[in-house]
Amino acid sequence: MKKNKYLLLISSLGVLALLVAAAISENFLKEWHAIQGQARTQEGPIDVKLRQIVNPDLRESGPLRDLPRRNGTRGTGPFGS
Amino acid sequence: MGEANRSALNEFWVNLKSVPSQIYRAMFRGGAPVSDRTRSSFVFGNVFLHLHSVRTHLWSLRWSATMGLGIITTAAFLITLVTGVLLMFYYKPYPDVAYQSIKDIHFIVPTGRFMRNIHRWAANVMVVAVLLHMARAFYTASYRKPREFNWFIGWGLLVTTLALSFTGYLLPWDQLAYWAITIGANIAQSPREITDAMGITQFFDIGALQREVLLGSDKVGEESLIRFYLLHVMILPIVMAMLMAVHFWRIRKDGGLAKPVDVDARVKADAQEHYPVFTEEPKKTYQLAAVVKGRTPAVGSGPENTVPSMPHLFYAELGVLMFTTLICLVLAFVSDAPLKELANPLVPENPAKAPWYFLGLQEIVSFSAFMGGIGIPMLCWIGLGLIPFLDKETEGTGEWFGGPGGAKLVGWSMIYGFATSIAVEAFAIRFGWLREWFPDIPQLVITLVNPGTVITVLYAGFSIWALKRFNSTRAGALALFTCFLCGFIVLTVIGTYFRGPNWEFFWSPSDWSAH
Ligand code: HEM
Repeated sequence: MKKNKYLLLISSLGVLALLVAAAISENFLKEWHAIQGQARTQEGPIDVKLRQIVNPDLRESGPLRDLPRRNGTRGTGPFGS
Repeated sequence: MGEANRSALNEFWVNLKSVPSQIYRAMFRGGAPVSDRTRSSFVFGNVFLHLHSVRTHLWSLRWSATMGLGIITTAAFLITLVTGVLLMFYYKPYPDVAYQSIKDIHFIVPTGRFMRNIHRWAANVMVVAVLLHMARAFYTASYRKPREFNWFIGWGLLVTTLALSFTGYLLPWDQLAYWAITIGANIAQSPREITDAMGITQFFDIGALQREVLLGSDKVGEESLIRFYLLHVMILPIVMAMLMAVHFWRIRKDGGLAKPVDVDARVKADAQEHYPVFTEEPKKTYQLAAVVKGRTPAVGSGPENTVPSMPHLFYAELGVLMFTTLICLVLAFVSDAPLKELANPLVPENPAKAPWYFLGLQEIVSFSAFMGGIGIPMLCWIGLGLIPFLDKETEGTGEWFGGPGGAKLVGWSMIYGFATSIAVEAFAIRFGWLREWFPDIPQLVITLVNPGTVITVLYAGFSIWALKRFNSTRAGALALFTCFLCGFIVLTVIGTYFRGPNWEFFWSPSDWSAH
């Protein structure tokens, strides 16, 4: 059983380490972060977001930021701007 | 009044404080799994765990018994399940849009690429593991009575695994996917090689029917994609889950894993490692041991050399689960899943290749679509399924390479299996095959005589020799299974690394561009 316990411990630590490494690369090292940084305008960096496939005939929603907010102001996108 | 109120309030407060421990007790009614009895109720009181038996034989816990391969396969399946559901949040099963959505997942969705990589790698790990697991079950002769039916279920699991992997291959709708499924469609249509030769295609076109059932239309398009999508995310996973449940349940009903006849003598040393085996009121056990004086074989080991599955088996399973997760994460971290250009029906991929585990068959398909895609795989598949019913001997059950001939026969079969397949392929590559020598030869002749069928016949001959030499069906099976394994490896390697545009031979993919 000792062997199996070590297998469990070492594999779990390895998985944890890789998840941390993935989180770091995801948040700081992705190439588009650099591109986004270069494309900074006076209003801040340009948003990167999913293109929604919109059927204009249905007058479907545009980007999230255009939805009216409760107090009548227009909100910002989920990641700010 | 005040008193009663206070005590009700008090009770409420006490109850509130004890909520966590109450939930724990409601969940684990038998109490903490610390004695043999509570460990048993821990297992059979749990819907998932009760697929296991309450006690596990020491033999089955040895790493060499299973190499954990069945659990690796299960773990890889669970990983694809979790990551696959996450991918479904963004994937859209419609041509072109599908490609865009995979691109979004790959480049924009937070952690999308990582999840996609893990999904892709876990699928490959699963295919490798299921093949190795099957080989393990075969080489330890674990398919014998009473386990024939579980071999049968495993046989279904193998096909389901390959089908799941193949249907997933189409979903990105890139060039790789589109042309792989086109090959698949041509294989489905290949019975025409036979019906054409017989001149009955006009009346009885089973090839076209198969192709249409596969694609949902006469060409690869949106009908095919939605069909593959449904199979991939719904039908096949459900089939897989049900077959797995039966597979595991049967292990329990068949009396655990297969074991050698003299297993009890062999696991004596293991009992020390798993000490203490008896945990129920150890004080009494010691007293009993004192009364009987001395060490009988039963002292210090459970009934029939078993230990409680909780925790001994579950540590092993959890360990293997995390190990598999680690392997998939490492692979996903260092290597991205491929994504080629958007599928384009006008620009054939050259060479168009199926997923790697089908490339051995595609090598034969390059001679005859029917033999490579249907004839030989069917033969192998039916042969595999019949193994437990053809070999009913008892010698060597539960032992690696058990049975007449043993490891030595397997070694010779490996040499023969590799040598024959390499020789036949080398001949075909160097000198060409019937079509090059006699351009007008009917396809039916090539369907019957091609490297695939020649290798098959040579293997069958060797197997019959082994069967006679050792006067044992098991020896024949050992020889045949080993040969086919070697042939699979040789053809897969050739199809993967040495075939380039127009399926011509190249020593290295870097020479492709010279073409
Ligand atoms: C998705 C595919 C499969 C999964 C998840 C799976 C899982 C398992 C597991 C967990 C075990 C317990 C022992 C071990 O871990 O090795 C097992 C045993 C077994 N499997 Fe599979 N299996 C699969 C496919 C197959 C295939 C393709 C075959 C053979 C055609 C097969 C035949 C058997 C047999 C005969 C046993 C009993 C072995 C013994 O008693 O020693 N399984 N399987």
